[in-house]
Amino acid sequence: MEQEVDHEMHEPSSFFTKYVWSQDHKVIAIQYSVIAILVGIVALVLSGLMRLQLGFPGSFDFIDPSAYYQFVTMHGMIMVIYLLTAIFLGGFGNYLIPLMVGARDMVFPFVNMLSVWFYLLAVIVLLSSFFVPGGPTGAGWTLYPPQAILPGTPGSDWGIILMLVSLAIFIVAATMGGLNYVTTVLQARTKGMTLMRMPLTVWGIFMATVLALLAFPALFVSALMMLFDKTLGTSFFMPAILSMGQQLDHEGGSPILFQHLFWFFGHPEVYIVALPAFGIVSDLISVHARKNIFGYRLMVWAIIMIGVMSFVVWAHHMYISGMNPYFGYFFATTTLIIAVPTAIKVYNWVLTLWHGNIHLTVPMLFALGFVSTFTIGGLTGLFLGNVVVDLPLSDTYFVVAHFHMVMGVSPILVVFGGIYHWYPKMSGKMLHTGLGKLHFWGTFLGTYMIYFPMHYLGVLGVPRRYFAYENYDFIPDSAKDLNAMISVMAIFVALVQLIFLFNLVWSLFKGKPAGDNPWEATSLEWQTETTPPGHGNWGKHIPICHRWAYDYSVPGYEQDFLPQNFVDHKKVGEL
Amino acid sequence: MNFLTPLMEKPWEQAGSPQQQDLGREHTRKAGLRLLLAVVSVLFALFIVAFLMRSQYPDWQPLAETSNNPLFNKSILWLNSLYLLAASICLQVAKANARRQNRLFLRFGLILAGLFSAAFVTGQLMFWQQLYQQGFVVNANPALSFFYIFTGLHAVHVGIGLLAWLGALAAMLRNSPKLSQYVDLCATYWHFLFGLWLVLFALLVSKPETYNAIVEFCGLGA
Repeated sequence: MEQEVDHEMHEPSSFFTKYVWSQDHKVIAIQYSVIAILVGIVALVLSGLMRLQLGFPGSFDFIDPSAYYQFVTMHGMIMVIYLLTAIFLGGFGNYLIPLMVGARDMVFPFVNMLSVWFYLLAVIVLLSSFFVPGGPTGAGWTLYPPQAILPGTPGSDWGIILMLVSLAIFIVAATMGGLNYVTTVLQARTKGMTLMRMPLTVWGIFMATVLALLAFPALFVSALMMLFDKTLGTSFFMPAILSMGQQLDHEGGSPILFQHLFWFFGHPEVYIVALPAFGIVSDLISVHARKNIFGYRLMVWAIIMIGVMSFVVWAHHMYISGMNPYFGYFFATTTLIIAVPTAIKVYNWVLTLWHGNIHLTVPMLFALGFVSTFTIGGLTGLFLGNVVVDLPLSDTYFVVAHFHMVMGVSPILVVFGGIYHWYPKMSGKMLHTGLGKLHFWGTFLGTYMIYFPMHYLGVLGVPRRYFAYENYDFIPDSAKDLNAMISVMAIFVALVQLIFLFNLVWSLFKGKPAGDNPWEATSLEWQTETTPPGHGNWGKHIPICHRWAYDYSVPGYEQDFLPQNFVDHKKVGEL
Repeated sequence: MNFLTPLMEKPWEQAGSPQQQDLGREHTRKAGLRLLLAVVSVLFALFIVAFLMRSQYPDWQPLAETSNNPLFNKSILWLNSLYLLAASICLQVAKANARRQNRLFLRFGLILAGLFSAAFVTGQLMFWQQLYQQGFVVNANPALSFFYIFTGLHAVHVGIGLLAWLGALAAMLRNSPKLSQYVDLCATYWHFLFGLWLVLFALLVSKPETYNAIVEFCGLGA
């Protein structure tokens, strides 16, 4: 049974309207993803350059302290905002939301198209800072004033301005996209698709988008005010200050105010990246273990709970900035509380796997890798959430190890898993499995080899953000050997990504045909008439949703999965 | 709770016959606009929090206390407020008459609303110019910096509204059936802009004691 709706479908005809100025959510999703992956490669190369300096100090003449700080800053900013945020919301969100809720497209396709072009503009402005006098900003990805805009910090002439402008443009792009995703989920669901029947992927992306809509304004506010401080000489964040022996015109501003605004954005940002990953992983585990997700309702409520809580933990990034001790107590408590819904999710993933019919496909391997790295990274978060433990560790490699495990490696493993899982739908071809497994093991083991030892460096007290580590008595020589090993592994992991890129291109032409539903999954995107889905997604009839997305291995049925639009004629009065 | 109703809605119940489908589209546009207004509210709310926190530092100077303060003479700002109020009322009139199929009032209301809004933006720019000539530049004191950011950003939002207004105007010239929908959306947006302007205006010209009281009440100091 399908719902018949007259729908004007203006199929685009020319190359330009079809692939460039496209308003089709699937094309926009691919545009978003391709831009994000390309800019991500830039950030990956930057991290390799950083590691060359840290592992083999002094061996590379072109890396001076300024260049090093520029690499650090651009690597962090690109990875967090321009790669992970963009690919989860703009890439996966755009592709999956309309297909999973049974809509023909996003509700505002034109705004959606503007979103991707603003995103491209933001990326161009950002990358152009490599070519201006003084180069990109080296202020660290948190861009703390006053140092971010003072002479002496690399890129304080042009780089910082371009960075702030680029962020502002990105926020406009993300808002235009976000309005679409939220409204589509609320307004364009097909018949029978209640909120509590939506796949968890949609829930994760939906909640992350709500967070983005509420948190990005804080970054916009701080970026705009800092831009004023830099270009117009205002004193929002700039205190009275001597720079290079000269009294500057600023006075009375508050750098701490910037930190509050920045982290009011910055902490939800962690969950903007994590929640879509949670959602996608839930679906990958359920599909590839042929078992319904354990505790679906609790999973949804955990997502909501994490989303709400993420707005009241931001100052745990500021323990060492100095604040009222009661504030530290409050934020330490909320930080530990937010671990509860997160832990619930981990239990539920494990319990879904328990007694499941686990297929170790490539997407499943990445999902399992995620559960492992996320748990490790999350546990060290409990250490750092406590003020007294955070104080000695905050400026060491322990923090670098923690956040790379929890919000660097974990989400990127999900990005890979998601691509291996949905690439067949997007292209009609399977990615090569052997290459995929090689890619997984190289990335998974390699990143563990990078970040696990970093915890020990941190406990030794090796400070982060330093350009070189000569002449510090408390750092033993063994730490230097460890650093060299980490650098070798970092370059190894970077090279392993070439396998993935090769696989993406090679499979597009030579991959095995995928068919409509290669993983035998239940959610609606696998039930389209054609693969890849055509313009308007569903041909003439929009599917009707009769069940949740997790009917795997249901007793009494021949096939081990019941698609969401499957009608059971044995049962009367369903829906 | 009214606020949560969008979550309870079953959107497919709006689909069906062509008329109903069109209604659904209108509903979707309204939902999108409300969401946008929520985001804009958060943006300005954060600016206001930053303003209040900054007002607690010792170098703060009030904007409208004594006769040598930049906003002491508020007559231009009051006049601009009237322009924006007039634009808001005109759109409300246009919206009411769109329902009654009264084309004349609809057209007049829509056109006048645009003109009044343009007058508002021009008036704000003139006020900026006046301040500039008096030496009240953007970095003269922190409160003044906030004044420029608030009024500038608000004017940008009026400008974005004027783009939408142009769309409605085009729909009017084409005699498009969607006109009443567009007018409806414009009216909501303009009421919001007017309300927002009142809040910003009131905040900027308040006494330091008011800021202190709000900061105290909200616990923003520390």
